[in-house]
Amino acid sequence: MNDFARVEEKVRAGERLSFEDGLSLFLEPDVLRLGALANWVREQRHGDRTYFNVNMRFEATNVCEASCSFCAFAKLEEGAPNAHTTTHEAAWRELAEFPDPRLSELHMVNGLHPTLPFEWYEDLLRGWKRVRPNVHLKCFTGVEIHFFAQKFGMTHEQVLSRLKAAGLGSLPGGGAEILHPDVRQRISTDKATGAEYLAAHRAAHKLGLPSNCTMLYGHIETFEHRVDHLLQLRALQDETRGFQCFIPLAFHNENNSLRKLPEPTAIDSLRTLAASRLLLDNLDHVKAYWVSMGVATAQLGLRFGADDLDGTIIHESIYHSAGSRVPMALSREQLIRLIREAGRIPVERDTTYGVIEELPRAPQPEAALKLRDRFAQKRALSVVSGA
Amino acid sequence: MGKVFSRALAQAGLSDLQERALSGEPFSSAELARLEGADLLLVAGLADLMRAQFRGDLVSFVRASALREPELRLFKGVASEHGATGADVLRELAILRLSTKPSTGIAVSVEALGLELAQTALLFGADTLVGDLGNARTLPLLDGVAARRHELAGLIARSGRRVSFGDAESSLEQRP
Repeated sequence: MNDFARVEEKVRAGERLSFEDGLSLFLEPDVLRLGALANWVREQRHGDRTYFNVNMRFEATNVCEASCSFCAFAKLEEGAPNAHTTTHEAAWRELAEFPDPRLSELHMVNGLHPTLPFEWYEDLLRGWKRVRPNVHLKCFTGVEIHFFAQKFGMTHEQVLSRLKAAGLGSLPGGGAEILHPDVRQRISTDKATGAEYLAAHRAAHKLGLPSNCTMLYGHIETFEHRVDHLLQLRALQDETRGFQCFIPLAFHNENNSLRKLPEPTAIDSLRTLAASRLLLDNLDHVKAYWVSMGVATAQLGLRFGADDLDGTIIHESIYHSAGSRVPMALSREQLIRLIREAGRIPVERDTTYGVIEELPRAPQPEAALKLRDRFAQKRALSVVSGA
Repeated sequence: MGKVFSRALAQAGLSDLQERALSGEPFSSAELARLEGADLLLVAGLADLMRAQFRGDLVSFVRASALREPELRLFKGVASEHGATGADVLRELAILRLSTKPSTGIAVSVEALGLELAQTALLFGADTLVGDLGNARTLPLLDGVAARRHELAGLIARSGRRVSFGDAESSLEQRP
């Protein structure tokens, strides 16, 4: 029995996969076989249900003390070209005037601003809760939480308790990058270490704040680093059960100092999704984040272990600064269609995976309908001979 | 394809089609009709079986202007009123593979599909990529055709396949 056949047997038996098993997932040449196994696990957990939400992105400031080599978003100081810090009034107005009444989540990630006082962030959250109290505030990465703790002389728990009191509902997963120090010290030297990122999430979970987790893949890391990263997340989840969702983030190479590296390919993204689904046996959800991996690949990811497409987003700066060519937003209708065309059942969720609306599945994927139509009308295939 | 695939085929009542994919004959209309609404990965798996058996692991990259091979069908995508999604495109591609004589190659246009979908098409029955290197979507590593060839070769190698540019064949290991 080869390595992958052994992994298949372990997965079918519900056994936990080891580090070596994880490596065999990344090295398996038959990507469809890997995908089929991850899809089986996904369907055991969720059937055809596939989640999305109506959300908006917000970046209050892109001014950041850290100088991560993969980042095209951050500006080192106020006054630098394209540096931006919002005002409270502008931020509150943007949420208040957001036209879609279905909006359920505001997702905010920021730079590590050197001079903004902690109270500024608390006031920002309080204002948002005043103008739209029913919108869940998913704000501040574990890296930001650690930065606040260091800068303002507080523990992670103190930082999180104050932000929770101001309206914080959960943490996004950004900032994990690659947790292994051999990689992290080369790409993110001046922000939270991997252990500090995990400590911030541990503190959040203890306070009843759920969070997501991520992995930035496809740059200088090896498959061993990816497996190590996933197992570190799995270990914390064993301890706290506070992670809701894992989101693999594809490296983009424009406007940053890693621009000579090729970006991960679509098949690498599908492989990473599948391996993540199989290794993270204690996380409920794996997300195919369309901004990161592209709309087409994310849709296919729904057959490679993912059960969530993220949301409408509306305006995203971090990936678009690094060269992402995907749209700034997808409409709710577009997300529903993508899910249905993948043969799945769209489920609109809130941030904590409460069901807002479960929509009916499409009777047949659109391509299959075309196939039937073609047989009925004896039409030719939409292809031509190359000769 | 492994036990998971075989079990999934059996659950869908499609086990017999696994043998058919290896039989050397294209699927009939009746057999294709059985794939309506079938799991996308099952359709892909059948197309991939046929591709591997009769076309092997070699992926050819040919310029659009040099598309001469007589036994090659160029997949042009899917017409859709609202724009075809990736799943639409790949399902239709896999159906084309299964409905075409197995010894005939299936080509996809990099320009029409984009690099990501074109690479993924290699899992859904395609064995040939068509495009003009200079016009393909950004392959930004280094200047010059040779570097671009290397980038493209890497893309194909990372899908688990070997690549031929027609004038010279190169075989690359999977990415470490």
